[in-house]
Parts: sequence; structure tokens; C-alpha cells
Amino acid sequence: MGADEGMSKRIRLSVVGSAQEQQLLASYPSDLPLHEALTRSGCLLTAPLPSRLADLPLRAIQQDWIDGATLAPGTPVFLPDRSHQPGPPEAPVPSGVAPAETAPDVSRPLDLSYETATRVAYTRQVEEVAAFLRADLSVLVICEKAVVRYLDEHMVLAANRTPRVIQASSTDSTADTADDAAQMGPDGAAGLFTPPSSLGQREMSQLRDEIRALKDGQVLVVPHLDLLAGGADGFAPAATDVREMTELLYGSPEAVILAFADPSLTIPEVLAARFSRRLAIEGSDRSVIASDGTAVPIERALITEPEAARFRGIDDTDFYKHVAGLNPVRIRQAMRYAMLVHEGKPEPTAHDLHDTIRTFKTHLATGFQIPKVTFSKIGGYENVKRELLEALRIMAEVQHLPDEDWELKGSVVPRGFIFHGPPGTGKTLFAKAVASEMRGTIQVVSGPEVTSKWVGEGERKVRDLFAEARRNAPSVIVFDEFDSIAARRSSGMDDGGSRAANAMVAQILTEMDGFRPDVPMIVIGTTNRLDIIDPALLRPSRFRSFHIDDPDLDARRQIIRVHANDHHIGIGDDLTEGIARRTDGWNGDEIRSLFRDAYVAKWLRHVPADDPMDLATLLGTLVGDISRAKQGQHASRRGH
Amino acid sequence: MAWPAQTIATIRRLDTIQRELGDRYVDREEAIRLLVLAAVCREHVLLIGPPGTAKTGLMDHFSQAISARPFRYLLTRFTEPSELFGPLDIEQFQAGNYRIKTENMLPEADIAFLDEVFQGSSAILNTLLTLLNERQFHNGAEIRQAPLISFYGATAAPPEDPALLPFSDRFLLRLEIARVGEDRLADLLDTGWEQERAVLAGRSPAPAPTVTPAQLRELAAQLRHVELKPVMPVYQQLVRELRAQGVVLSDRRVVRGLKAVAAACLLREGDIASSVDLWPLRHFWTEPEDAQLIQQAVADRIADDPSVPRRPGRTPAEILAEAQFETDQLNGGRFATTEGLITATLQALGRLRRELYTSHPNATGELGDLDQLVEQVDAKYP
Repeated sequence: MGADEGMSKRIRLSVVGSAQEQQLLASYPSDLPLHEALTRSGCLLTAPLPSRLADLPLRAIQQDWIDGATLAPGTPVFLPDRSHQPGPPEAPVPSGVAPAETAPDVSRPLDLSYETATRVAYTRQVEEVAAFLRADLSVLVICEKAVVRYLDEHMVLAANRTPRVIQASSTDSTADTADDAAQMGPDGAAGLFTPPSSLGQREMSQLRDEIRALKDGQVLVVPHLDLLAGGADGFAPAATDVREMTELLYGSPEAVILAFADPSLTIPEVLAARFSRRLAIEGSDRSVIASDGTAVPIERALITEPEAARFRGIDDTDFYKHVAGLNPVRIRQAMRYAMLVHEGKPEPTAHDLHDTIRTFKTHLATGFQIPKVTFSKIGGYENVKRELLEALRIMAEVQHLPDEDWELKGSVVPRGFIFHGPPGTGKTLFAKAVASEMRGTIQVVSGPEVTSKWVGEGERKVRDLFAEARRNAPSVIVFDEFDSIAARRSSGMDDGGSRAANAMVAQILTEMDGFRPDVPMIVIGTTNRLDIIDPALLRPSRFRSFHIDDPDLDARRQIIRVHANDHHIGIGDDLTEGIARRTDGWNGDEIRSLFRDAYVAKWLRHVPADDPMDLATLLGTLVGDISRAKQGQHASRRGH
Repeated sequence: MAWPAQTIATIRRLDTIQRELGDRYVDREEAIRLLVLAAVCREHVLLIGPPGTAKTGLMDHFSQAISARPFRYLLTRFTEPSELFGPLDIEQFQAGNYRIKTENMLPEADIAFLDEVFQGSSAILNTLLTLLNERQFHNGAEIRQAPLISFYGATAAPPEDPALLPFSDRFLLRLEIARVGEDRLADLLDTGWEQERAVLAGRSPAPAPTVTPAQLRELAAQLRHVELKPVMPVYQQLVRELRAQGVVLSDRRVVRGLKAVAAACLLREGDIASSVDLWPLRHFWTEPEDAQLIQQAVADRIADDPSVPRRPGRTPAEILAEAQFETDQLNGGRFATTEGLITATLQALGRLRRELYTSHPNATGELGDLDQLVEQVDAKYP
């Protein structure tokens, strides 16, 4: 081999230039003097070229290549000639972007891993937990599983303690680099055989070992306390597990433990009581603490530079409203999803971003959907609409109140509506329109879906429902046939069933009291039996009630227009007026059925209806049919 | 004949890459030289060595430097062919065609690196055989040309199973990579830490792409213009001698070896091969026990050919400049001058002084300057 290429070179120079210039420089003979090679290739340096290096051959210097395009504007560069004149400060301005936009007032991250995002967003909580750990107090953190792995050791390290993490998987030998695996040679399959015990048992035995060996200054981290000692999906945990855990944890009272549990899983109270502090981390805060101690809006901290560049006009209040219930990992996933969806689309706006995030959220949840009905699709009821819109406007405006009025904000925002009125008047429709006015998601729950034959199950389902609604905020939960669960709480001769229903109502009220003003959520109950609804619910601070009656003449006109349009039946003003007058006492659903029948007649039975006279005849007949049916129902009801 | 300017430029760029990689990987000069040679003559190399000897890092940097699409994978006995060649195209399959989606997989790679290559199942090795030899990939009924420049296989030990011999014979060149020797340990720690620091600072230590695969292809096409006649008798004699001594050399490898010699000649910008261009034959062995024998036989024949200009070593000025640099680091460095730092600098100066003395015994002026520097540094001891 070339004996002359023995030692590695120590003299390094940072060379600035484009790819072509680098290629040019590389193609010179290796004994060309350095200054000549640099000058000929047009390359620049980040520091003046010392004169004694200038005459050395090119090969004597190790070059660190810096792409000229990546150089920060204003960085001084130097010409390689021996006069050592500083070159013009190179300021590569990307074409097509105004300079004002390249220098934002608050810097955004260029790239963000889930780990960094979680830690940045939860700085406050991490500090809080760390403070307790420093005081040698055990902490139980209730948060979603997705963020646990980014927080567990981090919290302990923030407290300046040594973490001992219970992790069954860490005992497996996994080959993560090519060279490691090469060492295994023919025994490469050794890692495939797992010990006979289950994961839980292994974690348990590890916990047992660790808790005894725990020293001062060490903190035991249990990332999945709920799985170790809790029941899956709310079922009662196996008694032996709880017993063993309890004995273990209380057996070493001086051990400092940091445990995590998921909000959807329950852990026995006796275990939770072992911890000096319980901290719930849910969703994301509106602002995060930056490294210099100032509060930064979450939108600044969690949206990267390229993302902000793609979606113009992101406003922090507005953005937060749509992601308040999402944990930082989910926010990042939503942003990645949004970047993917809007790849290559021209000029997407913050509005598009919010819509995409809404779609992303409904992909996450099973029950929540994006409503399609808007207020413009509802004919008539101008009063109700006006009142509802006013309430929603207050909800949106409240976001802009100063933060000091937090308490006040909470009391101003509407939390729930009750829509009551005769059947078929479009109460559910109104609920959907409310949701789409909020640009939110909606889940319609009917009473039996949340009731259960197990006592306590109903409350749990309500709790989960609200937790999911928070994640999907802005969101609307609609309890259809609200009277079936929120009936007047009975007293005296009550059976078990009504007690369970009472507990459920109490749970709903508790959840509603806990609404945060900056996470827009509304509970809507619809009922046609307002008389049996629990009066406690009708307090103005909880539910505001709206009476949705059978439509009046004017509303009927509007409804007729909407349905006629939907069913492609062109009726003139005269005919509209006629039908509106003839349908007194009809509800919206009955009017819709009129047009449905007309549609069937026209397109499926091929009754002639193109001529205005024919159409009038057809609709008249149908109005008569429906009226007769209504009278029949009336008569038979009176008969009883 | 003289080579066109374009060819010379590519050769020099490869030389630059070789230097850059050499600066980054201590004691891997021979390996890097062989990598470049293999890429020029489009042959395959088998790397034999223990884990942790920078095989993977070297490959990564090299493929970045020649802006090649790399494919890298670790084979186990349970690796599926689809992990290397691509998954089945389900849509096509439903339409009745057997097709494999080869996007970003081995059949579309310029440079391929498979670790533990002999662990692959026979299904994998069979496909690799065709890919290596004919540079073709059978995708369903269709035969496609693979852009593969070179294939690098790594293994901890050469295979003993005779069933693997046809496969291992496809690797024209072999290279044993050992751990860095005792004498280069200081360099290893220095450069290694330098790279770690670059990674910690968030700077990628990757070299900028300098040569394109298309340029490499043009360079390979120039191989046919290299005049091999002057070395033919020596080459013949060498092969005869080795075979007589029982060294296993297949006909295929003997013929293809000429390509390696031509590439060696081209890489030193020559057009008439000389005995110095026989150096690639050092990596010609089949059985590791023959390695010593072959290396000896080749070394005997690489006489210094007076017609070939020798590569110049470091000039006294270069060595002195580095010594000055080391001293400046100590004086104007960002760290307080500690005893350990002074000792390390003195050691570096000592090493440089030794180099200066052995390669340029007559450069008394520079030697004196260096001694002054040593005294300067020595005076700093508290």
C-alpha cells in the first residue's frame, strides 16, 4: 500500500461552497497548493487562511464541507487569497420568500421528535413531579400511554435522581445493530426463546427485586402500574395481584416510586393511596414554558418551521381550540398527517389545517363523527337559531378574554343545551348544526348505549365518553331521549335500577362541572318529555333549555322549500303557500315524508308530475293521505 | 495515449474521496483503496472481520461520496427474500401477474452491502448469484438489468460449507479487516472522538457527494483502453506458480483479475500497466490460509518500476505545518493548558519528528524548527 498515506491529518479547514465547487476542488491534483486550489474552485473559508497553510499541497488538509446554501445569513466568509480580505457577507435569500417571513419573531423548531414534543409541552408537569421526587415523595401520574415512555425517566432525571425502570422487555437481548448480530453467529436464534413466565409475572418479579435493592437517590419507575395491578378495561383486577402489589409497595414505605396509569384503566384505591401525590396529565396546555422561562404558545412550540410555512395564518388561540384535548404525541401525529394530506396542494390555510385535524381526530375515535348538517339546512325557527348562534358566539369570544378571568370565563361559557319539544321537530338536527357551527365533532348517544346491567358500568362509560369527547374537542355529545337516563331522581321506594341511573346523572353533572373554558365542549340532551327530566339538570348554569315546537306557518314554508329542493321537486311560491297552510300542526318529519312520498311517486311510480297542475294534484292527494292517517291515529288514541 | 480530461477529473475525485475517507477511518487505507478499485472495475468484495471494525460506516460514507443508492441489510438464517428484493405486488398478483415491487430494494441499488452474507437462505443466495454475475434480476417472467456497481459482503469467517463455494467465488476480491493495530491506537481515539463530537454537534460527518454513478460507469468503460501486454507474462507466471503451490484459483477469478489490474493502472492515471499495478492481486486468495502465500508472491513482483513515478510523501513543510498547528492548538485553544494536554501535544510532536526524520533525513532546517517547537511546548510545564 502507499506508505506515504500513513498518518491521519489533523489540520482541518471549513470550506464553503456549492456542490459544483466541491466537485471542482476534488478534481485537482492532490499536490496543488491549497490557496491556488481554493481560488480556482471559487470556494470560500469560514476563517482567514493562515499564510503558512496557503502553500501546502491540497492533500495535507482535511476539508470539512459546508454547503453555501445552508449557511446562516450574515455569517462572515473569507476569500482564500493571501490578502486575507474578508469577503462579502453571504446572505442567501431563498427566492420567492419575502425576507420578513424568513425571520419570525419567535423561532419555531425545524424538526420535532415525539420525545422532544412531549417534553417541551409538559415542562410544567415535569417540573411539578420532579419537585415532589426531590422531596422523596412518591407520585402517581395519570396520563395516556402514548406519552409515558417519553416522560418516565425524564421526570426522574429532571429531579436529579437515578431512575430504575421496571421493564420486562429490557431483559431480552435484542440485536439492534448489524455488528452486534454478527457476533451471535450460528446461535443467532437464541433471543427467540422467551422464558416460560408471562410478561406480567416477569415485571412483578423485577419489581420485587428492584424495590428491595433501591438505594437512596434512586427512584423506582413503574411505567404501567395499571397493567400490573389494575384490571383491564375496568374489570376487577385479580385479587392476588392487588394483594401482592399492595404488600410490596407498602412493605417498603421509604422507597420513592414514580408510577404511571392510564385514565381509562382503574387502579385499586388502596394502591393509589400509597402515592403522596396524584397528578393527571391530559391533553395539552395552552402555553408551554420555553427553556428561558417564558411562556410560549403551544402552537409556537409544537409546529415546526416547514409546517408553519405551509399553512398560512395559524393563530394560537384558534389552533389551541382544535388540539386542546390531544396529547403532544397526537398533535405531532396530526401535524404529520396534515402535512401528508396537503402535500403539493396550493396554498392551504389554517382553516384547512383545522379541518384536517378534525378528520384526524375522528379517525382516532370510534364514536365521534364530523357533522354534515348546518344551520342553513334547517328551515324556519329563526328565534331558536338566533339564540343558539349567540350562545356559540359567546363561547368563541370567551377565548380572547384575558387569562386572569379564568374563573369568570368558566361561568360564562354555555355547557349544555336541552332541546325539548314534540317528536319529529328536528331536535337532533339542531344538535348536529351546533356541532358543525363549532367546526367540531359530534357523537349521538342514545340512553341504552350507556346504561348497563352492571352497577358502576354506566358511570364508567360516561367517564370514557367524556374523556373521548375531550380528545376530540371541539365536540358535542348528544344524549338522545335524555329522559331515559336523566329522569327525575326518585326517592323513597327506589329500586337498584333507578339508583344506577341516578349515579349516571351525577357523573354527567360532575363531568360538566369540570369543563375547561378553553376546550370547547357542549352536552346536548334532546327529549320530548321535559316534565320527567330531573329539575336539577334544568338549572341555567348547567343546561339551557330550548323549546323546539311544531313549526309555525313561516317555518313550514322554509321547511317545505328545503325539502322540495332536496328531493328535486320544483314547486312554485303558490304551491308552497298552499301546502304550508294546509299542514298546520304537522312537524318537520311529516313534511319531509310528504316530499319523500312525492319523490317516490314521481321517480319510481312514474306518476306525471312535471306539469304544475299535475304536481299540485299529486301533492294535494298526498297531503290528504297523510292528514287522514294523522286523524286515524288521533281517533284511535282517543278511543282508549 | 493520454486520458481525456473528464477521465482524469473523475480519477482525481476518487483520489480525494480516498483521502477523505482515509482521514476519517484510521488504518483502513487498504480497505478504502480496494473499495474504490472494486467500484471502478465493477467487481464484488468480501470483507472478513470481527464486528466493530467500521465496515458499515465505511460503506455508508463511501456510497454517499459516490452518490450511489445504497442497500444495506443484515442477513440471518430466517431472512425472507422479500426483505431484500421487495414485497409481492398484490395488485398485479390479483391481475394474474407475479411481480415484485423492487423500489428502493436490492435490485435497484447501486451499492449493496449485506452483513453476514453467508447466513442467507438458499433462495436468497440463488437470486444473488444471478444478480452478482449477470447483474440481472428475474422479476416474474421479466428479466431486468440491475444498476448494481459493486456488491460488498461481510462475514465473520469465510464459509466452509462446499455448497457456498460457487457463491463465494463470485467475490473477486477478499479483504481481511482486523482491529486497529497497537501503533495506530492514538490516531483511532483521536479521529473517533472527533467524529463523535461532530455527531454530538449535530453536524453530519458524511462527505459531500463528489462522483456520480454515471461518471463511474464512464470510467469503467475506459478500462478497455488500458494496455495490459507489459504485465501479461508476469501475471501468467504468477498464476502458474500459485496454482502449482495448490492455491485454489478458479478460471473465472483468474480472468477477472486482469480487470482489477487494469483498474489499478487507471487509478494512478496510467495507461500502460506495470508490475506495480498488480497490488490488487494481494486480495485474490480463496482460502484464508493461502493469503500469506499470495501476498508474498505478489510483493516479490511489485518491484519499483522506474518508469512509474512514485507518489510523493509528505514534504517537510507539510509535517512542520502540522506540528505548528498542534502547538497553536495548545496556545490559543479554548481549554486551559493542563499537564495532560501538554503531554499529548509533546507526544504528537514526537511522532511528527520521527516521521520527518525517517522520510527526510536531510531536512535539517525543518528538523531544527520542530525541535524549537518541542522546547516551546516543554517550557509550558508548570
